[in-house]
Order: sequence, then structure tokens, then C-alpha cells
Amino acid sequence: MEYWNNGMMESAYQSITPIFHYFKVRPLRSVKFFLLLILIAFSNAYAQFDNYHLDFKAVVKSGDGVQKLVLFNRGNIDDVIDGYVLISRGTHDMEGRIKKGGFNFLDPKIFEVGLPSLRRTWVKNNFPVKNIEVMTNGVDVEKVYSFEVTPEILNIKSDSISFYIKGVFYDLTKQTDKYSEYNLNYNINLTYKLFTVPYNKSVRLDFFCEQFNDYSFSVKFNKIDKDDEYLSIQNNRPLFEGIEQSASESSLPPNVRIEFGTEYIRADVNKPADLITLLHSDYLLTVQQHSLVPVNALDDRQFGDKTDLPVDIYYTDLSFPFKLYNKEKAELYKNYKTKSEIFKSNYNIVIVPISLNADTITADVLLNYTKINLNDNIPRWTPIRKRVKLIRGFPVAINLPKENWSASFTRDREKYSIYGYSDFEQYVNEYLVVSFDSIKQTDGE
Amino acid sequence: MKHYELEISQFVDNELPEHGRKELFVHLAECEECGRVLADYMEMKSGSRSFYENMEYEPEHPVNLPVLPQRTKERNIYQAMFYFAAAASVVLGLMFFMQQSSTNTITQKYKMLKTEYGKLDFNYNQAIKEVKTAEENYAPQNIPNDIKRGKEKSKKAQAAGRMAYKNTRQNTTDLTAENKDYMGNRPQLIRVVKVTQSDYLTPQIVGN
Repeated sequence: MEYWNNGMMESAYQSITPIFHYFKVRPLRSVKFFLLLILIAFSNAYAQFDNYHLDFKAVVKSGDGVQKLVLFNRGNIDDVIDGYVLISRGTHDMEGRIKKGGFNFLDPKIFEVGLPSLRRTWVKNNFPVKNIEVMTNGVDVEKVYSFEVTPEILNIKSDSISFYIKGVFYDLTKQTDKYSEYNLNYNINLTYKLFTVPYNKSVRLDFFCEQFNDYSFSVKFNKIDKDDEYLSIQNNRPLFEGIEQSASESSLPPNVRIEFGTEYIRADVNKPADLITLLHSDYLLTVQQHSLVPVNALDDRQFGDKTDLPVDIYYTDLSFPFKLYNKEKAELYKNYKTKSEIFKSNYNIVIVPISLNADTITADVLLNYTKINLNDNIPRWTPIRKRVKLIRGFPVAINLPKENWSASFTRDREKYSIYGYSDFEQYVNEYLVVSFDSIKQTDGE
Repeated sequence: MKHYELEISQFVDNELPEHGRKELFVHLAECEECGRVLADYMEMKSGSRSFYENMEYEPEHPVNLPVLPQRTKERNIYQAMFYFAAAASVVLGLMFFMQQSSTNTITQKYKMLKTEYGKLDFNYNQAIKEVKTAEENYAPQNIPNDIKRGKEKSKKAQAAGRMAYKNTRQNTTDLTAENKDYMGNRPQLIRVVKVTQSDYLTPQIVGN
């Protein structure tokens, strides 16, 4: 009673008296009014689904640490995501795409680099269909996982997402040296799984690892507010201005969406110096991503600049382990506990399309990288902008320059002294391969 | 002579109908006794009225009636709070029910998919038996016609395919002259370009 007689509460009460007065004299109507408010709030919440995009990222790694494949898709909340991962016979090269319908044995584009003589053939398989047809060119498929992911989001405000993943495993069980159409035999398994995971947290799919020995498959979802879809550049004004300048030179028509692909390749310097004659088994490391993230705005945190761009640009971050190829230096740091955190490379790739002509795209490829993870804001590696001409089906490989960098520091009482050229650069050739798969007209979203 | 005592009582209580009154008045004019009775009834009636008007009521068993509180400002607030709490309970109940039914939707869908998969698995096992039976009954004349024709014509093509397949696995320095020509006639599948000084966004950084 004393509380309600307090002067402050009295004045607050007086300020909303008209509403209270209405509710006092008409209590039943006040209940209806609030129920109506709640219903409006719920319908508004469901309408907010349109304000978000859903990012899907699948990462497949080989057990030997040489190959890494990133499959990325940005789409609407309720989009179904189809794709596939395959391992080729013999060289065990890894390929994959986010592609509607998943894997199609009759698609000749599956074998991008290979002999032009493709032919159809029948193979036996242990599935209800007696035979399946295959396009084969000698680089046959040893294992394929063709999958379909269906997200289920009931409440956009929730911190977790449920998703179904169903897929088909094709496993070449009968391998033979004789190249005969009746000697190929695929074992086929179906899987259905349901997961509920927090956003932005990787979940490893163990059933994949059971089918693909020595390979790991993990997926991650993230919801992105459409208002937050911009590229943030931190502490790198030259890169920010470089992207702005390239975008201003672009003459691309509006509402065009390009499926770019990138691959980072690290090869032994003693092997052939061009990728044409280099065999895939000679690679020290390969990290590939098809389908980069499209954005049309930049944000420079340092200067507080946010700018809209006249054209969509495409970006990704490729991250992978760094390795000291100087054996003596590697031996010195072998038992360091902070090694795994420090020896991480991050390559920021931005592709700005400049012009489009039939099946040819001229684009600026901007690359900014940190070969080791120090976060000390000391510039050690020079950002690059290279203009390339891309023809569909014919990738371009940028031979990255050898840099003369060094880093001497202590982390958790562990002392490091790394000389970039003598410990790493002189042992390897690095390439950034850029290609594009398709060009689409969008609805202006 | 008939006496009208009942009618006199009804008249005093104002219960005598109109036609009865006339007959009574005619009788009162002739009968002194009935007149005295009327006077007595009238006196008794006026005395009982004043008795009840002056009476002070004292109940035998006192009754404690509840004292209703005055309609105060605090009571109104509590009443409003009650209604808000009732509305909130209804809304929370609805939300809980919807959440349950949503969770059930996912579980039901999963169960449906699992059933579908179970049927596929069953069909798959049935079909395995059919495939094995077909294999046992296999004869050359069962091959589809196009495969049969292809098989007859493609011996040379198969030989060329085997050679090319073999060569992709070998080191390129072992390529025969024939294959070198073949490789030379193909367009370059990957073009390699180098970074020049003009491609740097800043002067090349050297050192720490």
C-alpha cells in the first residue's frame, strides 16, 4: 500500500491513466485486445523469415591432410540444397559441387579436365535398377555421395536449426585393370538422418566417414540478416580502395549472378613448374571452393566507411594449415603447444567482374593473405590485384610471388623465429586457380 | 337477520369488491350491531398501524453482515493485474501448445521418411533377388541391341581408350610422340599467369 502511494508511481500511473481507465472499466475487452496484440506479434515474427538468408557450408577433408573441399550455398531460409562429393579412381582426386539434383552419372561436365572422348556405358550395380548408365572417360568415379539437405526452421529467433540430410552413396566395389563395360559394379546405400545443431557450429557427419574411409564431412549453418550482407575490410585500406576502384570500372549488366570457383594449390618446387604437366598426386596441399559469396557493399571498420558498390563482388576466405618445409626449423618447433594456433594461413579472395562477353568474363582477382596467424597488425604480405580473362571450362592459375617476410615473436613462453623465404617460400610453388561455372540472371534480390 | 361480519372485515382490509360494498352499506343503514362491529374493526386497524410504526426491532440472533470494501484505486489495479495475468496464461499456454505441435511435426516427418526408407530397403532386397535370378539367366542374346552393336564396332575405340587412359597415369616425360601431338592439339586446359610489379596494391613488403 505504501509503495502504490509513492509519488513517483502515482505520476507514472497518471501518465498512462487513459489506457488504464479503459482497461479498468472494460476488463474483458482488454483481454481480447491483448490477445489480438499477441497474434499480430506472432504473424510479424513469421514474416521476418524473409529478412534472412541461410548460409550452408560443407567441408570435406582427406585423411592425409592434402585435400580440402568447401561447398558453400547462400539462399532463402526454406531452400533445399542438393550437392555431391566424389573421389576419382586411381588418383583419388576430390571434386564436389552444390548442384540441383546432386550427382548425375550422365553429366559429361563432371569430368572437367580430361580426355575429350567420353562415352556412355552400362554398368552393373546392386540396386533395384538392373543397370545404370555412366559417362566414362577413363577417370572413373570410385566413390560418390550425392546428398539433399532440407532445413527446418520453425522460429527465426531460435539459436539452433534442424535439418534432414538424405543421400545416396555409390561405391565402386569391383575394380579391374581391364577397361570393359561389364566390369564396373557400384554398391549403393541410402541414408536418412535428422540433426538439430546450433547456428555457426560445425557438426561432423560420422555416417559419411563410415562410407568414405579416411575422409571427414562436416556441415555448418548460419543465418544472415540481409541488412548485414556486406564485406568487412579490417586494417587494410589499400585492399578497400582497390576493390572500390575495380568495382567502379565494371560494365557488367545488372542482376547477373556468376558462379565463381577458386582453388589454392601448393606444389613442390622441384616438380614441373606449370599446372598442365603437374600431376594431382604431386600436390602438397589443395583447398578448393566452388560458389563464392556475392555482396554489393563494403565496410572499412578502421575509417568507419560503408559504401555500396555498383556491381556484385564475390569473396571467400580459404583457411588451411601452414607448414615449415625447412626440416631443421620444423624439428625445432615440433613439440610447441601453440604451433597449431600460429601455423594457420588465411587467404582472402575477392573477385570483381569487369566485363562479360558470351562465355568470357574479364575479372579482377584481389588477394590478401596472412600465411601465419599472429594478429599483430604488422603488414608482412603484399595484397595483389590481377586482371584475368576467364573462359568457361578453362581455369586460370595465378602463380603467386615468393615473398620475403619474417616473424620473430614469443607466444606463451614459446619463442619463434621464422624466415619466410628460407623456411617456406623456396620449397613451394603456390597457385590460385580461378574459374567460373555458370552465369545466371537474377530477380534483382 | 344475516350479519355481514366477514364482509365488514374485507371492507376494512380493502378487499371487498364493488357489488359487495353496496349491499353492505344498505345493511349498515338498518343494523346497529354491524355498525358497532365496523367501528371496532376500524379502531383495531388504526391502532395496529401506530404500533408497528413505533416498534423498535431487536433480533433474537444478531447477524454479522460482511463489510464490503470501498471501490478504491488499489482494487482496480489488482483487478487489471488479474486480467493481464489471465491473458498471459492463455498466451503462454497457446505458445507451449504450438511449440509441442511444431516439435511433433519434425518428429512425424522424420518418422515418415524413415518408413519410406524402410520400404525402399525392403524393395531393394527384393530386387537383389531379381537381379541374381537375371544374372543366372544371362545369355548374350539378352544384351540390349545398342550395346551389342557398340561392342562389335568399338574394339579399336576401346584400344585407343585404354592407351589414353594408361598415359594419363604416367609421367608426362614418358609420352610417346603420338601422344605428344595429341596433347599439343588440345587447348590449354589451365593457363598459368604470373604476378608482376604493377599487380601489387602497395609497394612490395619486405622483412618483418
